[in-house]
Amino acid sequence: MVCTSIRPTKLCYSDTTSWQGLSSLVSDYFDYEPLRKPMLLPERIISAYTAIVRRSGNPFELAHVLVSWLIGAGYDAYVVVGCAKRDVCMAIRYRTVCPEIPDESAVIDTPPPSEEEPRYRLVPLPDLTSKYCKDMDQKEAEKQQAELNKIESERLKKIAELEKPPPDEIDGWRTHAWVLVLPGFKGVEEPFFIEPSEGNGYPISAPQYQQLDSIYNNENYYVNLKSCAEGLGSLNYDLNELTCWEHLLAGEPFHRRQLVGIDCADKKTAFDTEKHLDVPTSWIEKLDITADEYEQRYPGSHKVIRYKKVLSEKFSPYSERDGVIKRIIIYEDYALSIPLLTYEWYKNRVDKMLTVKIDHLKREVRETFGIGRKDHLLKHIYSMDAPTTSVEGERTLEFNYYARLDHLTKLVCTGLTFDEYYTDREDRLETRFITYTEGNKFDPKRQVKDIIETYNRNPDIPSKDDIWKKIFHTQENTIEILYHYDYNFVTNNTRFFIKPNLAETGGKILFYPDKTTGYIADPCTKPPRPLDVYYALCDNMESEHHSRKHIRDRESDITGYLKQRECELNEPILFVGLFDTERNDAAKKGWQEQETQKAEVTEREKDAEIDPLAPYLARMFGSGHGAGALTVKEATLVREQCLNDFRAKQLARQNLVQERFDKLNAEYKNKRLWYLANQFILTPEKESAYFALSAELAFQVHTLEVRLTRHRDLSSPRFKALEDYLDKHPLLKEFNRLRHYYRMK
Amino acid sequence: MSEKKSLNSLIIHPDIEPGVIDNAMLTRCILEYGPKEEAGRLFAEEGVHLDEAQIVRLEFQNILRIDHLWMLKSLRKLTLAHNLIEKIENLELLVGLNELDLSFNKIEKIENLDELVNLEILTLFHNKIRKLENMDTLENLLVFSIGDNLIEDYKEMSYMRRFRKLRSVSFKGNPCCDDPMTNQFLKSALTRVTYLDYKLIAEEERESGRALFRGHLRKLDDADEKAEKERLAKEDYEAKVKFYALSFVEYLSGPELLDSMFEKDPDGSLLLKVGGELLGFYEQYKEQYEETMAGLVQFAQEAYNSRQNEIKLFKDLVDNALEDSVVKSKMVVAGFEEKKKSLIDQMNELIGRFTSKKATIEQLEPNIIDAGEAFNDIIYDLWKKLMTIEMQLYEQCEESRVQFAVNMTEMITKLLEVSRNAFGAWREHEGMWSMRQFEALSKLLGNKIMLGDAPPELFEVMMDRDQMMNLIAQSSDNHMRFIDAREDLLMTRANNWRDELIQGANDNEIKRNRDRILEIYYYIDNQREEWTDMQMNMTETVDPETAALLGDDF
Repeated sequence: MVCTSIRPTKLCYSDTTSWQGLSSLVSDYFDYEPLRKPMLLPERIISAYTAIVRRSGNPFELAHVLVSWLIGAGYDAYVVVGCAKRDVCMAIRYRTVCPEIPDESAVIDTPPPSEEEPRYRLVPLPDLTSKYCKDMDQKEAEKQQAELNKIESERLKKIAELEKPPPDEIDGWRTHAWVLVLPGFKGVEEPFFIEPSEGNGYPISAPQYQQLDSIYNNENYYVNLKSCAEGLGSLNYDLNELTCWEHLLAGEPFHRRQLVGIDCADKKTAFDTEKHLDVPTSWIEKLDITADEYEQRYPGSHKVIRYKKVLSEKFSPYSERDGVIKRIIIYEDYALSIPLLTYEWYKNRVDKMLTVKIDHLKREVRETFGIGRKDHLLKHIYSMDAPTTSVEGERTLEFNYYARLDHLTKLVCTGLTFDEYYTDREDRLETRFITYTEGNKFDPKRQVKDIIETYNRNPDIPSKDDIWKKIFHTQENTIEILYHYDYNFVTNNTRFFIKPNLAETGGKILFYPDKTTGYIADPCTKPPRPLDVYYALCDNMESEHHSRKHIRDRESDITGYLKQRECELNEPILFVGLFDTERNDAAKKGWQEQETQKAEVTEREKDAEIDPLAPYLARMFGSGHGAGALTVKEATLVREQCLNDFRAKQLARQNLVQERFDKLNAEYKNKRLWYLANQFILTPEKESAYFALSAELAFQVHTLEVRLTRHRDLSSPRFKALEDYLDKHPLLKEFNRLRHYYRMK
Repeated sequence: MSEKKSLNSLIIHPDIEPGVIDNAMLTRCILEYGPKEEAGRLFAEEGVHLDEAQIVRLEFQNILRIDHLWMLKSLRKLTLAHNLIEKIENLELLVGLNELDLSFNKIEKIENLDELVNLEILTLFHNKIRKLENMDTLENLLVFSIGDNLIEDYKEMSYMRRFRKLRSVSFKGNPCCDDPMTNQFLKSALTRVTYLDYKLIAEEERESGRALFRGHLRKLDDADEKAEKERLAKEDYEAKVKFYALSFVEYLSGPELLDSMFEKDPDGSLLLKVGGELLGFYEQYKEQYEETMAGLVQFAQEAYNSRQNEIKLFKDLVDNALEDSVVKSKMVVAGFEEKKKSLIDQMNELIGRFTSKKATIEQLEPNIIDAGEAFNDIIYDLWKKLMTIEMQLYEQCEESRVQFAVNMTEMITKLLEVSRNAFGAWREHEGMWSMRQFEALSKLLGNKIMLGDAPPELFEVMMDRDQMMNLIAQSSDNHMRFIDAREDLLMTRANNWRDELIQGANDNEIKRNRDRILEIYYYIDNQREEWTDMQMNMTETVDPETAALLGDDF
């Protein structure tokens, strides 16, 4: 019976507890084989276990595997036998939209407007526009919109027409098997279908499933009695309803049984009254897969699916040299010849690259990185045409500012500009924009034209001293400083310097009042003191010097990063986890070495088994004695010596222990007598000292006693063991044979 | 003779001209330690502003008396080292002083430093001080140097324990430093000090010192702890009063006020001494009072919170409106700057043509006039836009300001009503109390046996009905007056607060409005001036050849 080919199995991987994880595993794990004869049921269904080994299967086999795993995970799942559309039965996807295209439209969440009516409101400004004009404008706009909509809808219709599948002669008769999950377990509230070849869930009213003949799982087989003409959504999925579902085995599976009115006290009556039949146990092996297989996931480590205008490729981790695990290419046309966009996902790369998006139209590449890189790069967007290791191309680099010492957040380079953005810097620098002039014939290198630095407001000093922007016009030798706006001010202080020529004054900065101008926003303050203006000039000349130096450093830094990136892109290295037993070669080598060493040690120990005869043999023949058997005479001598010595040694040990025991015991008794005699005149300290000492002595005496008895008990078995050993000793073979012979006699 | 005299003067009394602090000396010293080179030139050119000087160093000036420093209003660091000063004085007005150096003088007593609460660094090295005193108000003291003085007893230094922020002390060179215990004591007693004689104190050293002076230190610790507790309790109490004062009900929670009422009323307290039944009534009265006032206090607290909320709502609205208008105005100004730039470029080109003699002034005149008109147009446009934005802001906020005033008045009125009820209830309790008092006392009137152990004055009163009646009436009157006064205080304070708030909001808005308009006009004037300057420059540029010809002529 087909029910017995379902073997519920619980998989123990991270995402195999939900139906989503299991169904995507099934769709990834198997190659799909459409039925050979599309209108008939398959002639034979191979077991789910074999399907797992073969890694391919027809819809029935896939459904069996999936249902087994789903039931193992705790779902109430069934295999559905019925009819479906051609695209589903043949696993044709090039008419479906790819579900995995990343959604890049930014999520804008507007805060909900506060419910409370505000107590204070601004008086609205008088509205002086004409309502009539507005109305007319709106009407006009609506008309235009309607026209546009019409054109658009027509276009869409045309596209839909074009994309319609070709007519199918046997539509509605194609046999297919898929999975049904019924509510009641693991938070499932509505019944739904799962297509095992795709790994997606569908509502029961999904149009691609046309007919439902029967459903079954490891507990029973149900035949649908109702017509499917109105779609599968109209069926009643309550399996207890006998008018809708005919049960193959009378009764219900255990969890749906109603035990009302059944006397459970007596087993036999219960069994008789209950009248439920159970399916025999499954004949199939447990459907486990190993961790390696789970990780490999795709048959042959690689799976390609063609969707509408999209090609999706998936790879097992470590199967590709550059660590790519998924690639989605979006094409302009149905024939998949002109690529528009490529998305790639990477895993286990040493350079921490996670995703790449290539825009073939804009010719732009966007790479994202995980945190933990040395240069703290998070995102790198660059034009494909930009020179790979130069800051003069168009590129944007975003950094993890928190980890960087200079708090650099973003860099935007183009041919003639170089913009730095900072966050949370201690000196309050926010941005630094640099513009360059193009190089000319004589000097092809670009030259710094303007540097604009922006600082945010420092609340600790008054706004008139707080610099907002510093603008260095390096080629005109002027400095412009804009200060922050004060509260309720719409203009700000400014200051303009023409830099003094240091060459003329011998390096000293001199102050000329006519080379500086400024505007003071507050009409009530005094004009600034020349000394302060002079200090500002000195500070800013210094700061310009710093900035220019900084720019040079930064450019070389970034060039270094880019070189590094180029290197990483051309020669990708994959990261191997420390505890990865499969791929960590260095560690593997280490383990193997350890193993061999261990083996060697045990080997040596085995070799060096102690031969009690060795010393005697050495005494008799010298240490280098070979394995030749001894003569009877020699053997008798050696054997006697050995046994005698053993016996003597045992005795000596016994005597030693006995002697010690006697001595300590006597001491203990003496002490005790002494105590009994003196116990009434002792000071408490002495008394407690005595108790401590006597406890100690008693313990030692006891220990010796135990040793003694143990020795007595063990000495005769030991002696016996030695004798047995000598009886079987290869060197004494001759002697033993003789002895045996004589004894037999 | 002359030789002898000179020798004498050299040895015994070199003729020192004692220095007197005056304007000239201050100016000289400030200039001397001021900036150098180019900055120094500018500094000197500008002249010394005594009221702006932050650092003044008067060293080696042979000053005998500290004086005439009051005009150095913004002084932060004052150095009077290496002088002949004998007394610390006349420093009261230098409140902002942060660092004071009086080392190498002849000071004998620490005094007159009470006003310098911001002082962080105080150096009294090499003086003649024997005792540490008069520094209790210097709570911010961070570095203190008392080395090379005449302190005989190292226990004196436990005075320094009270400075919570003190981190560095230098003490070397005092007579008691010969005693090896001194160092030990200082290290263990000054627990908060990190550096002694500019050396870090190691934890082990502290420990060993602690072992030596255990008893003494424990005493000091206990005293400190007690003082600390008192200080905290006082702070708590004051904070509480301050907090309640915000809702106008300070001292009303708890029986405090009632007690003080009886304290201020000798007649009432005298009668209370009769005891017996009266004390029970008194307790009852107290209870009733507390209950009434607790209700009032709670209501006042809630009213305070809702008032704060109201103020916040209003403030938020006004601030946001202001923010918007400022942003808008800034955009207008930026737009104007843009337009101005193109005009200025145009003008510069004209000037260039004129100076390079490609065109005469007559030829250029129509162009210049055109540019001028265009500039006037954009200036007018700027003015119009900025003023519109400002006027709109003012008008938009006006109504909500009125609304705010109305709401505030309403809230205060409600609070006053509740307080009137509460005080009415208090008066009732008072009336009942006085009645009960009368009844209770009447029972005892003239009863010599029951009043046997009463104080003589009370006894006397209780013997005479009229006298007793008088006393009760007086006490009751007193109480009523007290209650009236407290109620008046609450009412006036609440009303004043409201008036100030509303008036303040209005005044601020008007001031803000005026400031803004002033700024707009000032900016526009500035722009006009700039433009005219540019034009003037052009017309004034007489070409050099003409000038040369003219020069020949004259």
